Amino acid sequence: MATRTVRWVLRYRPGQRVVHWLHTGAFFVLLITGLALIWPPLSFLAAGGLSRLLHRVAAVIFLLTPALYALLDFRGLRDLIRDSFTYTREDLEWLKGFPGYFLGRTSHLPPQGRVNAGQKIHHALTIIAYFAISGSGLALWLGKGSLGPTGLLAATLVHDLSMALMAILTVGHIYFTFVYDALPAMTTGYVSEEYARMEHALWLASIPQEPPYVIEVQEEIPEPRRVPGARAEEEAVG
Amino acid sequence: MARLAMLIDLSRCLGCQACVIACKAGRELAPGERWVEIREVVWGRFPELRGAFVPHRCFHCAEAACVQVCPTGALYKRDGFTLVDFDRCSGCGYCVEVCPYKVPRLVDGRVSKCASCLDLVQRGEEPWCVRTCPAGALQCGTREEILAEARARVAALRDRYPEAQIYGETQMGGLGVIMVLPTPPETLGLPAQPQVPPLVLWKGGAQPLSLGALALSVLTSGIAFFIARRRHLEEKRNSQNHGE
Amino acid sequence: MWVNDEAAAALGLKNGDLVLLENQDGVRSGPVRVRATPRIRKDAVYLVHGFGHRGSRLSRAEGRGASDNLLITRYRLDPISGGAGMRVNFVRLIREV
Repeated sequence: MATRTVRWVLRYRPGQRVVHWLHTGAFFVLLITGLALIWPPLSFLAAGGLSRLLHRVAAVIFLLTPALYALLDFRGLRDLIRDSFTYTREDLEWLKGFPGYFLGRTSHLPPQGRVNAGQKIHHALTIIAYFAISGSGLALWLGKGSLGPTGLLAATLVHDLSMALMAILTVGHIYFTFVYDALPAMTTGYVSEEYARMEHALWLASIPQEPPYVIEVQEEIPEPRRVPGARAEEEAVG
Repeated sequence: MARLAMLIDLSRCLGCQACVIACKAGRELAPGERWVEIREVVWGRFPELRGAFVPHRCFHCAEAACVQVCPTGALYKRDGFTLVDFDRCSGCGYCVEVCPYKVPRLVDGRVSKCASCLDLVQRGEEPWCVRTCPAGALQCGTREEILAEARARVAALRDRYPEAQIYGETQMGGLGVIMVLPTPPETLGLPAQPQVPPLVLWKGGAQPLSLGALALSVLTSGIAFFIARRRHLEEKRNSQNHGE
Repeated sequence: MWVNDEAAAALGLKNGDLVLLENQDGVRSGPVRVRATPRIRKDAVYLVHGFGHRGSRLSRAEGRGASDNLLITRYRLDPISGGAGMRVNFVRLIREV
């Protein structure tokens, strides 16, 4: 079988990946145990306080994730916060092209840096929602007796709406991950050079083109496959 | 069953606490747990002292805030009383925060409040507190009977207690516990017209909105995925053919 | 110990202050907290009965509060019924520092 040289680009360091998956795990436990209180099909989890216990354990992990990030990869945390709140004119151009991006096209967009405008907004909203949901969650957990009816209503409204925001952002996050084959970035840490070129060309150009930032891997050439609705014939790559 | 109610006549309560103990024993409450408390309210200066013993217990509001806010439906209304399904309780404590009378407690990780002795009443028996009271201050019956009895007692009290009045006819949509007060509610530590904020904003507003938005996003993404995936792969193929 | 609130103020005492009681025969009680209240007359104080234990094996109760018993060193007998009036003792309040 013929092989070819494929280049992979380092996108997320180990500390970043650990934090991501820890945060993901905690988030889903929180989401499900939280939904147990507002979605009747899941309310059986709440009886006897099971969901309450799991929610609180996961909440502690969720709350500590940024601190863990700072410890494991401070540069990553710093870049995350800085990039998420720094917007340029290109970002506006990108956002205008968002509908096309949503439906699988990137060629009409201006070249992007490390994170594109959509990711910046996702991160920024997640960070804001993190504070809203943590603050209201801590009030609900520790403020027993001092909230009063108005305080309780305010806390549950903030908590509920930030949950909805984070959950919808997560749906989008998963969607884009699988449309654009971005999962390896968080599992292996590397993305294909093709992905980097299509999605984050400016970033690719700015990093050293040598290990460990860019590595070369021998890959088997895949057989051409029929994709429904595509052109019938293709030239073999190579 | 018809809409039921209880009567508590504060002009007769001795503060003997027999109801507190009968309830604890009859419903087998945990150590330290009580569903009825008796608070002594006194005002004035010796020797002109006035006072009463005021029960602090679930008043079984028709528009109960605790029922509105309970996420699992462990608190619910039946036959005029606010009942508790203790096995469903998640221990979230929202009911504790929201009750305008500050009645519910959390005991052993679950709500603790008078769950009414509806099971006894349905068998033709009286609730534990009612059957125990030595002063005849407690009664249980249909709401019409109780209101009629309360009005009669207030009328009879008027010469000794000119400010005697009924409490519970209108508060919180009507309380399941109708009280005969010798003096106005504020003197006894009872709010004249307790208010709760519009809890429906959460239960009826934010909750369905959040769930609906989430479901919509899942649906939209699910459908869009097939379109987007195909177009992305197409674009990739085109760039492979024209690129490197 | 209930003390009339105006009498307490005149004595420079407030709610929660610790005082000792000494009766007319010099018997002193253990320390007890002042409850300043309008519910009692100015010339009397009220102690809840049953405190001020001295038994060393009463691990929770020993030395807690003041004993009304020990302060009752005098009594008067009703000449007709023979019943004993015990609330005929008078006390000074001594601030516990």
